[in-house]
Amino acid sequence: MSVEPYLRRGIFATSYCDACSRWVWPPSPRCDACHGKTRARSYSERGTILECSSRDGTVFCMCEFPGGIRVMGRLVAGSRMAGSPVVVSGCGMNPNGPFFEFTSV
Amino acid sequence: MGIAAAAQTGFTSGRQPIDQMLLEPASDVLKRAGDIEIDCVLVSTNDSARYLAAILSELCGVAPKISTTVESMCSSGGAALVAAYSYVMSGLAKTVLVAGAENVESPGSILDWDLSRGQFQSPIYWGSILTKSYMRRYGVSREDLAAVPAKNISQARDHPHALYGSACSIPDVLGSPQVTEDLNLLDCSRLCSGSAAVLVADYDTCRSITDAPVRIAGLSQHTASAGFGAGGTYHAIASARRAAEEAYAMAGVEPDAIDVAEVHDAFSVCEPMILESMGMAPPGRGAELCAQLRQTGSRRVNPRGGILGAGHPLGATGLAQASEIFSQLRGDAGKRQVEGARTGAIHGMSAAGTGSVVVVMES
Repeated sequence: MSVEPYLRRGIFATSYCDACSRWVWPPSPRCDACHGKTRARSYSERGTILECSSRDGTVFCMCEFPGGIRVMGRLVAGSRMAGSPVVVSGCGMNPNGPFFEFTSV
Repeated sequence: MGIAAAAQTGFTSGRQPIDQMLLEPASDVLKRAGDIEIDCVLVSTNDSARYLAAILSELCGVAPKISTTVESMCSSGGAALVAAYSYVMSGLAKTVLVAGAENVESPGSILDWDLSRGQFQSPIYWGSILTKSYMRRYGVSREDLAAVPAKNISQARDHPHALYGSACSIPDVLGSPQVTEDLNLLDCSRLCSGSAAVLVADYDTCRSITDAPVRIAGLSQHTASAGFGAGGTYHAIASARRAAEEAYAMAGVEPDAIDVAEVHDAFSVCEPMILESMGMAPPGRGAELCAQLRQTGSRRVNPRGGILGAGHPLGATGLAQASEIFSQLRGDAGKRQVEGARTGAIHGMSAAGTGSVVVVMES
């Protein structure tokens, strides 16, 4: 199942392989380790900021979450220092694809 | 095996029919090659037009055994050279015409598939992340990095096919419009239209065409991932390191043997990162090397102006790089000539450096 329905409801999700008990990133219908089928599953772990920058007042950053999940998105609140802990505080789909928002905690 | 002839067109900001762009340098190469049979035609592009290699073959009046298109985003040209080398090495072909072209509005600079970048898909976002990471890791300043476009845009003055080319200083770079917190406009290469072509052939054919062929001494390609968020550090280009190590080993050379190189300076920070990844500068010292090259007027790196100075028609870039090194190693690069250059290299990368190609060439 695609993660897109989750994102449309504002729920951050990726693929999960039950056979390997591991997250698969980027989302894929097959596990990149055992090549078995995956399922979409919501994800709520805390991550950290790897790098931040900004454009026209919008702060964007690459964040890393447990399981090798790296996501680029907008930082909406909190510290922008590299290494700061973050949560995915928003996500969704716009006409160009998915978007993600983070808040430092 | 080597390159027997090379050509390129002027890089411009205007749109042109892709088949006509391919035809121009391809015809120049075939004219220089004389009456030889072409076994294979490869087209390097991100253009969506179909069957371009067969179309180019027909326009050139050749009927090759093999014709196909190679696409690998910004490093399509380098990937096509790897394919050409492989065809000749396998014996499937003795002569491969490799032509690359792109239009200014090419979709090839953005990897739509990469969900990790979400809405931040433009290259300026990954360019900013790389810049920030490199500066933080090594204590390098924006002023230090500004030496790269100051050097390359100035060097492009002596390249008749370059999109840009004017005297450029560090204050010019830092005073250009702010694009992101970490990038000014002159830190960013720009897409443009343009084309280039080379003829790759076995040794005997090369010698029958020219007294001064350029040997392909070693080459390799490495794909670390597709997505920017797949892992690894953002202060080095791992794919460039792997490709360079293998290309050097194949050529039997060390990095300090490279007299002249064209590397993929998509953003200012990319040039020092690549020089470090290719072993031409120690880790964290690439920007210092770029500043030294600028101060001494050395053309060792990106003599034609690189991508920052010459422009970036994606599918043509790798072949324009090869064309420049071909000229350098034959001693006919004019004002851009690196005196005594005998060994050269090109580096191309795609999608934020997730993939790289390195080719080592010798006179």
